[in-house]
Amino acid sequence: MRKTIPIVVAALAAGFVLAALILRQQLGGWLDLVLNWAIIIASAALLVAVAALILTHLRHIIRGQRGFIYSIILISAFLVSFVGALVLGLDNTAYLRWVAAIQLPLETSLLGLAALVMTGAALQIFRSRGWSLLTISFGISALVFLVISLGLLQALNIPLLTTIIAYLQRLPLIGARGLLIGIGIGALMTGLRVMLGLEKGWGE
Amino acid sequence: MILCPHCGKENLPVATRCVHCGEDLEDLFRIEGTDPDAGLPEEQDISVSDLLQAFRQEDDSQAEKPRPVISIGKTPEPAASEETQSVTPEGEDEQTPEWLARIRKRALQEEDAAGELSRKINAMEASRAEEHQGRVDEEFANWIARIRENARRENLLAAKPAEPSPESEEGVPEWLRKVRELQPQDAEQNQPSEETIAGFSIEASAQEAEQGDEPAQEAEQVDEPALEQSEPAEALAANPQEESEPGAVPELESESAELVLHPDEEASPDARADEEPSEGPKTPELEPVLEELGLTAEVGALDLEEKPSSSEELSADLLLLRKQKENAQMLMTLIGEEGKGLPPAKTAREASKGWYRFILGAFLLLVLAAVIVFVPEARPIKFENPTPAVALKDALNALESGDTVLVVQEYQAATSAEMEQMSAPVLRALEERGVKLQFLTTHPNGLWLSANLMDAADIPAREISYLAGGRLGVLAAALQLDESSAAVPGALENLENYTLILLLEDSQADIQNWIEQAGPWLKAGKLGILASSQNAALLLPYYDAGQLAGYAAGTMEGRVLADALDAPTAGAPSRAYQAGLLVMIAVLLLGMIIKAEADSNARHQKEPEA
Repeated sequence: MRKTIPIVVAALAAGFVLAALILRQQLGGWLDLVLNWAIIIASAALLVAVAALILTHLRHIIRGQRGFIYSIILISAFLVSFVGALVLGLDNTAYLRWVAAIQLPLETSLLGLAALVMTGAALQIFRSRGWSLLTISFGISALVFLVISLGLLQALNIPLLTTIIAYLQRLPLIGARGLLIGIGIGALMTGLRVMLGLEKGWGE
Repeated sequence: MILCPHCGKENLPVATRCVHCGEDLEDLFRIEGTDPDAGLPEEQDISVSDLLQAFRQEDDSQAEKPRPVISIGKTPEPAASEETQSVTPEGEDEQTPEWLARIRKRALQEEDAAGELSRKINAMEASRAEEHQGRVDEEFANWIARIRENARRENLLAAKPAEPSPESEEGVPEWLRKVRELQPQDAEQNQPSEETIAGFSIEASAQEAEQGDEPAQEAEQVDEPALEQSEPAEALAANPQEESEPGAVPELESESAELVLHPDEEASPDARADEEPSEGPKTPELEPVLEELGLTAEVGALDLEEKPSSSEELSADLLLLRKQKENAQMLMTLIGEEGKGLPPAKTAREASKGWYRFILGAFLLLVLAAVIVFVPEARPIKFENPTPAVALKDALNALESGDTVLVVQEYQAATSAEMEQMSAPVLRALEERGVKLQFLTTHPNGLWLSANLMDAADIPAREISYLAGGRLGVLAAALQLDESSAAVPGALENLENYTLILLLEDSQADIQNWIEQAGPWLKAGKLGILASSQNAALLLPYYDAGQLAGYAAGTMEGRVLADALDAPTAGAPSRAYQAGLLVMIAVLLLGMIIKAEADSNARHQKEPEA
């Protein structure tokens, strides 16, 4: 029973949304209502996730587990942001700039670290994998596209070189199309599995 | 293995001839006087019933007579056996079968009923046992001697270092004088006889000591016989006259001195063999003197790793003991090193490779710095944007004053620099043209990043709407049939009312949300995208399918687009972007060079081995 009800609800919701998209004039009002429900439920789920996160870190602080200082920082930042938004409001310019002043360097540093990790991986790939077709092709393609991304070659305004660069830049489209086709087919299959009750990812 | 009856050595069971003496081994399986092939026809004539009957009759006849007592493990006397076999009852001859009678007759003809085979085997075993016993005794004696020698050396190691002994007025060292005091008569008697003992190097050292050499040096020379423990016996055997005189060499070192201080042992025939084991406890008189004089310290300098002269003749048992001792020492070492951690690995770095890499890395960094500082910013003179960017430019140029553009801000803070560099000139151009801009975001980040974007675009700040629900919210906004929908912000109109929806994206998932959820409900050419460079490849299929009015990806296309819109751009983030790309190029090249260098080193290391 516990497994049957979610499957039935998911199948009914998917079938209704699909029918409403087709029969838009007849079921449009109901579709808007169902979408509102889904958004509210998703927001509530987000709140539950935030509450679980806060409780977990509070537990770390109370027990004095290793690295609890980070839990203190997390909860402190959350409380400041939450209380600040409640008191000042989301439209307050000072509050928005204050949050942006924290968020911007954090995410930029994270992206920079990701770039460094990828660079280190590129440095190690030849040592760990040796010379192979994969590594050589990776190295050449990486170098070519990095140089193209610099824009220095385009600045030379050589017609032949510009044509070659344009051709090279269209090469990733082949992989992009395949990727998009794969994503589309995967989404279609997942939707069908949900509607048919074959997808049982919840409650397990 | 089988033993050869002739030489007594081992041979393989399948051997038909001894590999040592060459004698035929098939005699082991042959009964002398009989032809193995000749007996077969006769045995065929004897049936099983006859054989059983013969045994029963024989048992009955033996039960009537007293049976001879045969003790296990003892071979009966040959004479007795001959007697018992020769005395056969007369009535039994009639009952015994023919084959048994033949055997008995043959036994009577043989000199030894037990056969020559058993006699040879017994003799061979006896000889082997005697030889083995002799070897065991010899090895045991050597083993005991070595153990005592080792113990004595260990004791000497712990002794005090040698101190220079004061010399008397006559130039005689004090230790020699004390030794002579212990045996005054012997010293006087043996003074001339010292020269006759040519086999001992101790004499020379004693004479040198008398001549006034350094005491430590003398002691070192005196200790030489200790290294030659097996020599005194041979020397004494070569000089029986000296051996017979007690106290012949009182100045000698303790080991050799004991030979004369205990004449009763040497008088016995086994004294020579046991002289070394008796050396330790049998020198009570000399040991305190030597310890007092510090001579034992010099003995402690002996090489403990020196092998005894008989080491080549060590048996397997003794070798095993030595191996066990080495294993025990290794185990003790390991136990002692437990918990101390591994010693730092000695990595032999080649100095030449260090500066080579340093120069290479420094050169790459120098090139990078020079490019950033001195090379002017890349600004294409006549760079033409790709078709999608040109299409977006046309869509933007088609906007007129009073048109409403919905700007959807959906990028993260990490890519805000790139996105602001691209979108700020476009927004400024639209603002100057009188186009109404309305901002929307589906990410919380957009709420606080919008202020920066408006500052960068130099446009008046305005409120940004937040569309909750992500994909569902986009679908609800696109399907906005009811104006009072709770999921859609109140400021957001029906998406069909906007002339253009300009998406500022850095995520492929967000782009797909708008194209796949809202796109089907919108007219063609409603969606235009300014995206980060990594999304360029994924946008082209949507453009080719007619789902996009156009798009520009990356700072380069954004700059061309801004130039087309007559909106100047700032170049600082572009320089940083180029610097990052240069760093990645340098690191990638460095990885290739390091790998090539490692391969070259490995090749050079293999060549000498080959």
